[in-house]
Amino acid sequence: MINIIKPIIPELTLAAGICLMVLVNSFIRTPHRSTSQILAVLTLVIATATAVPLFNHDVEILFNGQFIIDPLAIGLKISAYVAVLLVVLSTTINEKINQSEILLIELFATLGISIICSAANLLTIYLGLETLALSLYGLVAANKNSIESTEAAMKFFILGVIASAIFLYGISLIYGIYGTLNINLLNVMIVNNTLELKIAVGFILCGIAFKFGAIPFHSWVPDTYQGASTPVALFISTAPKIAAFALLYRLLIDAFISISETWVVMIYALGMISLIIGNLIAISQNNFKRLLGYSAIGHIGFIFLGIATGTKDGLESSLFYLLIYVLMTMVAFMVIEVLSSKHREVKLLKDFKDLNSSHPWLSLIMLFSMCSMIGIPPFAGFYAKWSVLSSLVEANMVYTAIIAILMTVVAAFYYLRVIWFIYFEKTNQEIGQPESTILQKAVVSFTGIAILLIGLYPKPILDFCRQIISSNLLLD
Amino acid sequence: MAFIEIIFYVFSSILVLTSLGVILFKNPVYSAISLILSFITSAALWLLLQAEFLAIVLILVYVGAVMVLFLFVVMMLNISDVIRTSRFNKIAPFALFIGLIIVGELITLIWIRSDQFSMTSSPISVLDTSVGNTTLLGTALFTDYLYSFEIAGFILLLAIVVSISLTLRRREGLKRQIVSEQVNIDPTKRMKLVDLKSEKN
Repeated sequence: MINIIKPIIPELTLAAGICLMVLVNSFIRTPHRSTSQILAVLTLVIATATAVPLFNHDVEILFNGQFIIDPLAIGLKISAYVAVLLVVLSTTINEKINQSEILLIELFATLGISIICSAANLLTIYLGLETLALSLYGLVAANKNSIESTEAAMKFFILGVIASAIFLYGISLIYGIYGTLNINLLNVMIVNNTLELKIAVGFILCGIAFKFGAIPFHSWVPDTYQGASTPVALFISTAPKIAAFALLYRLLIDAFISISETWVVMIYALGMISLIIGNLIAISQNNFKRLLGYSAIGHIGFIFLGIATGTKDGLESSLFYLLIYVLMTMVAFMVIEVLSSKHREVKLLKDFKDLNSSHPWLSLIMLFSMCSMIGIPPFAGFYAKWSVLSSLVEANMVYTAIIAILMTVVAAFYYLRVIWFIYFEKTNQEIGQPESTILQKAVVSFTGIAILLIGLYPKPILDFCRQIISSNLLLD
Repeated sequence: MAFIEIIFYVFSSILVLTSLGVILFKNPVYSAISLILSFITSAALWLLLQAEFLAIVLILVYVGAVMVLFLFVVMMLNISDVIRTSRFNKIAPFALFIGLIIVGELITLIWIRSDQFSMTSSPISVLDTSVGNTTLLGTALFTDYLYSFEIAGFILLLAIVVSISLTLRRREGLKRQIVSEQVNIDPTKRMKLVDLKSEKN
C-alpha cells in the first residue's frame, strides 16, 4: 500500500492543503489573508520536500497506466512548486481583490500542473489541463471590479475553451485510430505515419501551442498579462509554462516520438513565427505588462526552436531556457508588484521614469532581469540563449540561429528602453512609497540575485536539465 | 409480436409525438414539458436495452436538473408575447435542410450496419445480463480509473470555489443570521407581559 501511495505524496499534500484551506477560509469570518498565505506556503514547502527524495525513484507506472513517476515528472514538479512558492511569498496582501481565494486557486493550479507532469494517459493529461485552465480563468477574473480584467478573463476563457475542444478532438481521433489512451501503448502502436494521425497530432499541437502562447495561438497572452492583477499575471507567466513543457514532452516525445518528422516541422514553424512577430510587436508597446506578454511570446519562440532541432541537446537547452525564462519574468513582475501600492498600479513604461533615484535597489534588480532577457553575460539569460543557439548550430540549422540572433538584437531595443526610462529619464512625478513588506523585498532580492548567480555558475541547473532529459530511453 | 416489441413501439410512438410537440407547441412551457416526457420515454427505451445506468442518469440529469432550470428560465422571462409570431419563420428552410442531412446520415448508418453486421436477434441477448452495467461502471470507476475519478472530483471542487469567489460580493450592512445568539436566547426575556386596563363600557 505504502508503495502505491509514496509516488503521489506531493499531489496528496497539495490536495490535503487545498481541502484544509477551503475549510479554514470558510470558518474565518473576515478572511485573514496571512492565514491562507501561511497555509499555502506550508503546503508548497511540504510538497517540495516530499518530491525531492523521489527524484531518483525508479521509473514506474501506477494506477492502471494513468500515473507515471520518472525524473522528468519529479524535476518539473519541483521547479513548478518552487516557482509557485516564490510567487505566493511575493503576493501583495491587498483588500481590493480576495487574496485568500487567489492563493487557494493557485494551489489548485499547482495540483493541475503536477497532474500534467506525471500523466501517463491522455485522459489524465486532459483532466490536469482542465484543472489548470479552469483555475487560470478564475484567477484572471478575480479582480472583479476592473473592466480590463473582466475583458481579459472573457477572452481567455473563450479562446481557452476552443483550444481545449480542439485538443480533445485530437485525442478523440487518436482513440478512434488506436483504441487506447495509454501513452506507452500508443508509443508502441504508432508505426505508420498515416494522414489521420497527422491531423490528430496537428490538433493536439494546437492545444499545446495555446498553453505556451505561441503565435498564432497567442492573442490571450498580452491581454491577460495586461488585464489581470499583477500577482495573477506573475503566476500565469511562470508555473503554467512549466506545465506546458510537461504537456509537450508527454505527448510529442513520449507518445509520438516515432513520427517526429511530422511535428518537428510544425514546432519549427510555430517557433519561427513567434520569435519574429512576438519581438517585433513588443517594440511598440507602452504598457510594461503588455510588453512582457509579447516578450514572453518571443521567448517561447526560442524554446520551440530548441525543441525543433529534434535532438537531445536541443530539448535540454529548451528546458534550461524555460527555467531561466520563468526566473527572469518572475523578477520583472515581482518588481512591479513591490512598487505598486493600493492606490496606484505601476504598469506603464513612463511610470518607471527616474526610478533609480527613489528605489536604487529595485532598479538594479530590474536591470538584472532586463539584461538577462536580452542575453548579456554574465546573466543567466545569456547561457540560456547560448545553449539553444549552440544546439541549433550543432543540428545544422545555422540560418535559423542567425535569425534568432537578429531577433535578439531587435528584442534588445525594447528591453534597453525600460532601462533607459529607469536610469536616464527625468521626471517630477514621485513614484511614492510602496507598501511592500520586508518578506516581499527579500524574495525579490533573492530571485534577482539568483539570476546573476546562475549566470556566473550555471552548471547545477544545466546538470539538472541534463539529468531530466537523459533519463528518457526513447531519445537516442 | 413479442410483448417487449409492443412496449418498444408504444414508447417509440410516444417519443415521436412528444418530440413533435416540442417544436409545434406555441407555449414554451408546453414545449419544455413535452421535452421532459420525451426524455422519460427515451429513458424507458434505454431500460429496454438493459442500459439502466444511462436511463437513470438521463432522468436525473436532464429531467431533474437541466429541464427544471429551463422551465425556471422560461417562466421567469416574460417571453410569451415575443413568441406569438409564426411558427415557421426564416430559419425554417435551413433547419429543415440540417434535419434532412441528419436523417440521411442516420439512414446510411443503419444501412451500413445492417450490411456489415447481420443483426440476427434483438441486441438484448448480446449483453451479459448477470451483472448490471451500473455495477460494472462503478467497479471500473473505483478501480481502473480511480486516479482520474479523484481528479474529476477536484475539478468539481475547483468549479465551486471559483464560481463562489466570482459571484460573492461582500458589502457593508448585510443582515446575517447569528446562530450563537439565536441558541443562547433566554425564553423568559423573550416576551414581556403587559397589563392593560380593560375598557369599561
